[in-house]
Amino acid sequence: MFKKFMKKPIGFKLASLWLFAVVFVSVTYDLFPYVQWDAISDFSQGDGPFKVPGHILGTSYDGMDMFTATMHGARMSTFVAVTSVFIGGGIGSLLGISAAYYRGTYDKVMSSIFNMILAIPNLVMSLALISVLANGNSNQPASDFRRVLVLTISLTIVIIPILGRIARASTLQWSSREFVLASKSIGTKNFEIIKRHIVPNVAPAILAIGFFAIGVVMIAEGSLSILGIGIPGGASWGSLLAIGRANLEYSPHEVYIPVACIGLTVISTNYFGDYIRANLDKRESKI
Amino acid sequence: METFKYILQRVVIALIVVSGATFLLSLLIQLLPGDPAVMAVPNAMPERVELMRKDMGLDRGVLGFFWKWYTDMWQGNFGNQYSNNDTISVTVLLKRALPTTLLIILYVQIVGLLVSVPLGLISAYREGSRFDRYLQTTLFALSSIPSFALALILVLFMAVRFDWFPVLGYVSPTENFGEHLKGMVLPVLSLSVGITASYTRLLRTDVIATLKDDYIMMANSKGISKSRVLWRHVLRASSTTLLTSAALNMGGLVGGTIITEILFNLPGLGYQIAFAIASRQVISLMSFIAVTAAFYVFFNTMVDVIANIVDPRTKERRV
Repeated sequence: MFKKFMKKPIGFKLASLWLFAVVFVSVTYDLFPYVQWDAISDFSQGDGPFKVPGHILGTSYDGMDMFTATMHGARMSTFVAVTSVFIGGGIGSLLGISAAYYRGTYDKVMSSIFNMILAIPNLVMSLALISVLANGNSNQPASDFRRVLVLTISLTIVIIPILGRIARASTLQWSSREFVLASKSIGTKNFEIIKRHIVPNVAPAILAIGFFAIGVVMIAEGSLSILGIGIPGGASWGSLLAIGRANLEYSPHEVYIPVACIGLTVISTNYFGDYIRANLDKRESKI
Repeated sequence: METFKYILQRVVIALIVVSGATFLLSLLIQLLPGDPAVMAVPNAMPERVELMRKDMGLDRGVLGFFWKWYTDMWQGNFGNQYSNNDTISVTVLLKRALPTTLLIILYVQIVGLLVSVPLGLISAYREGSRFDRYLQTTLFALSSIPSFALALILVLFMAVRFDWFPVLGYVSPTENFGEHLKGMVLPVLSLSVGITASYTRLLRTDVIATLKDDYIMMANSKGISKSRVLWRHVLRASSTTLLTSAALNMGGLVGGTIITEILFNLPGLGYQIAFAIASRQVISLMSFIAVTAAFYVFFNTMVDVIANIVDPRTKERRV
């Protein structure tokens, strides 16, 4: 496996290393004896990276250690992105595959609902959803847990039609192939056909778009934080960015560290999406 | 006749999609715990709340609320936005906000096409060269970077550090065109980098395919100069995907400029949407989103219709 990995192009290696690091940090964050991520340093405020001993990536204008905060932010950002793409992708593929397989009125209704949701730009959609679901009036703001939950749910709803439409289009392509017809003619049950013939063939396309979707969600999370309705208090990359924006002039590293993290993650997931899609086209052309 | 029927069909579908999207949204708003009228103006007198509820159509039930807004909208009345001591018509806000957003989109498209066409042509013409490979890698990275990341970096370097371009301030083009352009440089740049990158990649793929066609070899062997072959023969034949994607982007950008407008304080549609959400103005929010969705669907439909007229085979392609 290692040999196989070493033969991959350099982009593949870099992208997988970065994603591995991000996932590793988010999973094992609790096991390491970091200082508490939002602890305020007394002697260093707003120092840049590599300037003060003990703070590799410097400190924020308030004195938060940027290294720990970034590590901690990785967890929340990946959690939100992976969860919403996983659940949204699951529901979307289920709806899309069944719509394309059974056709008829169900398919028409499903695809027009997808189109309706897609007609609203995804940022506007999640904005609207959050403002409806996380209804904390100014007297009693919604709790942090609820805000994270609501954010994840709204991003999930944004993802459903994106992946649903891909799953539908891809299933349409496969369900008219001869082997599906053959399987039908020997009396295989519909569920069995979907499980054994449709899903394995549709999965790579969904996986490719799923990687792109992780990027979409990461960007949406950052954007929502900038608009002030994302995850509060610097607990995610987008949230760190939103705080740092106010101190752009005095401690710019507060902005460009989370920006770099978001950017690198999106580039990596897009790379994987592209990679899978390219291999998919190769496989298609062989048939 | 066939074409006419097709256009009619597409327009009907487009109308259904936009109406459906706003209807879903209005259901969502009804789910809101709390009274939209009270939330719009938290410390209003009971009499004013009563008036506002009537004005919004909240007294008519779930469907009546949507129906009132919907029928009003077709008569050009997009409802009102309420504040402590004022009621502003959303139509006025739209008239003020739309030109800004449309100008941004126009500039972004101009920059995107102006840069991506030559880049795409050259890099496809020299396919596999060092220039091409470096360009592809760079473009891939650039097309993945979120626009807000670029915007923040640009603000940091161009405005805060060196003070080359003003941030925070929109000058309308009729007022002072030079200042207007100067203020637009950073927002347009931050939006257009990603778009330019993806346009270039699209054009490159198509040009590579066209260059392998026989008639290009024919043109070359007739002794027409290389640049003439590229610009006249190749570009025209391979620009379909690029133009389609550009037209689709027109619609997508209407919603996509929100963050840029917020970061650069530009009083466009995105800014209004964010304001409507922050101050819980449900009616104006619905109207703004309807306009955004209408733009998106309009350009989608237009692309489909034009593609159908140009090449009738495409009818079934976009399922």
